[in-house]
Amino acid sequence: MIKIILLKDLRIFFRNPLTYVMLGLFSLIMGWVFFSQLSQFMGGIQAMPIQSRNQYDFANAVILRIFGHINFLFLFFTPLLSMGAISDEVRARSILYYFSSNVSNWELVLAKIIGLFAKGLSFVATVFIYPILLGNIQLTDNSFIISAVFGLLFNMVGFLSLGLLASCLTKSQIFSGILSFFFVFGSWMVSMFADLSQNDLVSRILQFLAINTHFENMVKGNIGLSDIFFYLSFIYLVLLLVHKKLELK
Amino acid sequence: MKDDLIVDNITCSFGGRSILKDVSFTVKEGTVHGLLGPNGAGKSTTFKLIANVYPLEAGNIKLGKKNIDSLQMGFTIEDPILIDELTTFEFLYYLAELRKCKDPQKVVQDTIKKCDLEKVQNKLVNHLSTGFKQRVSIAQAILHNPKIVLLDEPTNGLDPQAKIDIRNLILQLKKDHTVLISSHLLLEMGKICDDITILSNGSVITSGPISLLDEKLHSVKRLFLEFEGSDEGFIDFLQSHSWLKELKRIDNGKLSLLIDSFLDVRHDIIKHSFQYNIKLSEIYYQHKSLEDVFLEVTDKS
Repeated sequence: MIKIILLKDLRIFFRNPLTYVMLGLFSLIMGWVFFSQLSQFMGGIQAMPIQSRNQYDFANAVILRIFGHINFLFLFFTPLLSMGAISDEVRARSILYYFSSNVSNWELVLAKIIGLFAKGLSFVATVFIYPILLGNIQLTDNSFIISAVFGLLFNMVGFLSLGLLASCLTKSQIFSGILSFFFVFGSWMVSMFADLSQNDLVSRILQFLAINTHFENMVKGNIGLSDIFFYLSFIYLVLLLVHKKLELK
Repeated sequence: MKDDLIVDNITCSFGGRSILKDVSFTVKEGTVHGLLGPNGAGKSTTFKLIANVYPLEAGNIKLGKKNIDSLQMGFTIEDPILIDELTTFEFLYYLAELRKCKDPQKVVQDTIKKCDLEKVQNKLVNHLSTGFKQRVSIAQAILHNPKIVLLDEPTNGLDPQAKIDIRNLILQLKKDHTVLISSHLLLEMGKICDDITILSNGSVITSGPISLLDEKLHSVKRLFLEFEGSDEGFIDFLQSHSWLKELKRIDNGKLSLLIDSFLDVRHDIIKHSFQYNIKLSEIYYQHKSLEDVFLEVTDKS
């Protein structure tokens, strides 16, 4: 069932011309970000004495910043990807076909989130061309990139699950998109509240609850069990809310 | 019959407002059963309850003696529920897979043939005409060979030719399925239904063979008389009969009578007109239309 729904969703997604407009826009923004980061790095390195140039950290100056920018773009692109996931099916009433075909709510939720992940991956995949362009650069340590990629993907699924929740709360695609943006933005804000809090305990709790804290940990290569535990619990909890909402429908 | 659809005392309300009150009727296996009623009578709600779209508050809906499984039913509710971005074939194939049909490819091809959709099978659903969209909607309803097919207003918004095509398609469905169809287009229903249930204000007014309506159609009729001469004794004569329900004087020498009888009373009237020195120039029936009977039945409720 999951595969059938997933394939249908992907077929519709890749048949929509708007998908390619969004993909183009994402690539354009990321291309510009990459180019400007690279120029900045080159400018910086040329200004340095030759003997100290090898101390200039390419990974921190370019790669990690790019991951940060992708994460920022998720704030806008994940609501765009997820806004119609369930709301469209409710509006068109095609959701009735799941109920009348004995598709369980969990099957539907999993099909939708895997579908959204695949769509998100198609966006992020356009960024994977950059390492090929940078093939000549020798990095001393590649492991942090793997950790950062995992962080980015976990973050993306977290945001997409929030988008899925927004999408099952309303029939309107636009309203669902706006709601999703505020959900994702709200999850960003938690880390800001944590920084602003005077109380140490509250600050630490908020830091743990902030999705970006865990993203930053993973991007820095400090991948820990608590980060993975947080992401899995966060995603499960949000998907559970989607499931409960579908049960009410 | 073993697989009759039995709707037994179903009730539904929204926000404290009662939509259906103890609705009961039986759809016999292998028949086309019409659910008639004016807008807001509760037809679509009845369909949604049968299709398990809304939960039952009270009452039972059974297929024979057993509860109905969703896959034993196929339905179209209100406007066709389609996926615009898929082609006709892809849409039906997707649903065939979702409903776990054994050989989806063959099932879809057979259904496309049955519903005469070969010409449009590779067209996006979004690009189809209203008539074809309705056909695709019926095709999805019968795709998994369900015992019960629910068709809610299937001829709504169609041109006359498309209406005839859909009507013929529904008549074909009778061979393999039990069909429950709702409409407020009475003439359409008269042509395709074996049995009918009339709903008004959420209650069943009458339920039974279509001949029930036929009887009402032919037993109550209006008779017009045009004559010369004094009508004094003649009117007394007319009023002495039990078949006379109403007598209206339209003009001098013109009467309109409401007759409730299967018999043709004109012979009796003509015979007695000589006795009362009446020169009849015209005597003719104006039969009630199906709409008149329907309005009469629903108005009484």
